[in-house]
Amino acid sequence: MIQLTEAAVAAVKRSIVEAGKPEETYLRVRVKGGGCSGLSYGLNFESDPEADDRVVEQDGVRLLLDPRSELYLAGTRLDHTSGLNGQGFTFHNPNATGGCGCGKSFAA
Amino acid sequence: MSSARAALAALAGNRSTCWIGLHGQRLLEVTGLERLEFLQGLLTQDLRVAPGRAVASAMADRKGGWIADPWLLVDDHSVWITARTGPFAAMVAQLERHRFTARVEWREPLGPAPRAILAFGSGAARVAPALGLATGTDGREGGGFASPGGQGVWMRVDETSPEDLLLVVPAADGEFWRSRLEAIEPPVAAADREQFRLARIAAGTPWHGVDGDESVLVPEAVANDRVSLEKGCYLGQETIARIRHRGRVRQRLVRAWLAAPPPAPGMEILGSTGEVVGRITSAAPLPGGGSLALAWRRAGTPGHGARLATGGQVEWLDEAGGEDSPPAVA
Repeated sequence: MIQLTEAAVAAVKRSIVEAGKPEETYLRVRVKGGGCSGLSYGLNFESDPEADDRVVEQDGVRLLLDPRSELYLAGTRLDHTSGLNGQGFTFHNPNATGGCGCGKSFAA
Repeated sequence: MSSARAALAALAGNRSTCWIGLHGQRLLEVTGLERLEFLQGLLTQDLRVAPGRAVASAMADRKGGWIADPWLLVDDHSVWITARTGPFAAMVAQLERHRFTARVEWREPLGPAPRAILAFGSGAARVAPALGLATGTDGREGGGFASPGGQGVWMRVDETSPEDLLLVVPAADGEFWRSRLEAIEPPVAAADREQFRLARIAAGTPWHGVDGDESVLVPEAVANDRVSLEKGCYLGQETIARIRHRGRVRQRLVRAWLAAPPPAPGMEILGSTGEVVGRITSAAPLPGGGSLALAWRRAGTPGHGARLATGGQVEWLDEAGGEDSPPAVA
């Protein structure tokens, strides 16, 4: 199961409003192929789940996880940071065995 | 002028246009909403650089090993990718391995054995218009076109020069396009394997599976313009970027002039004290004697005094790179 930090929940809600989307919009969290280390993360808004998606709700944020991504995201904590070094979502994934310098991809 | 430079100048002065059938060339059509993003994460080239025009790329494994040398053509609805059978299979396996959740599909629209015809040589630019393949007003040079047995794909590739034209058509249409090529005035003549190999070597175009494989690194094997360091994260990019920024390679695939008939691939090249400084991968005879080769050249080896293990002077035509002479960064 994936968990969102308080900061991530707030950031997702803020992003939905800023994107002009309805409050009930889903956030799809997924693993994609490619990138320096072979796997990378993807986040995007969607209005409806796919048939085989698992829907996870936390603190008013509704996440969509497809079965394949879920395997790689089990136990992941999704955080959101903002500071002098930049801001954005960060994944703390216990399944990742390595990452790349740019921080955008991982190996598992 | 050295013998080597004189030989290259003589080749450049040849004004004939030729065609050759490329056996084992395959064609992949990649479609789907996320096709560009997906391929950007797996290929070394930036797919945004030249929409509607073919660009040379490479595909690397996670450690930067060279696994394929495809040509890509991005048009409005598809990305067309062509490569020879060996690297093509490795490339498709890599796509399959990394597909995960990407909204992307691919297929071989002409089946596993299409007919590929390359027009090359000086004046090859005239062939596309003569065949009725129009360049778009937006500068596009390539895409789908009607062939008797179904849709073919054409693109301008740089196997021997930027004027080269590649047609990939249904297998049964080969004879039709061959006769169309030979009816052009002045005629486009059929070339043999050695003529084409010589032109490819003279242009310094390596072929995956012939000149190198996954045991060599992408920056050692391919030209810098096949690799983007600006587009972001892709498979093998960390290794490639590190090598390019340090300006150091262990070896590099370069051109060499040989004062001998073409040796067999794998022939060692020795330095002045007998140490191995390189290895031949492709070679073809020159019309005036001697031969031209692509060979691995160890970084830091002197520019003179090299010879084939069986005898015969070797004159390097390109630098290998190394601490003192880093490969140029595009």
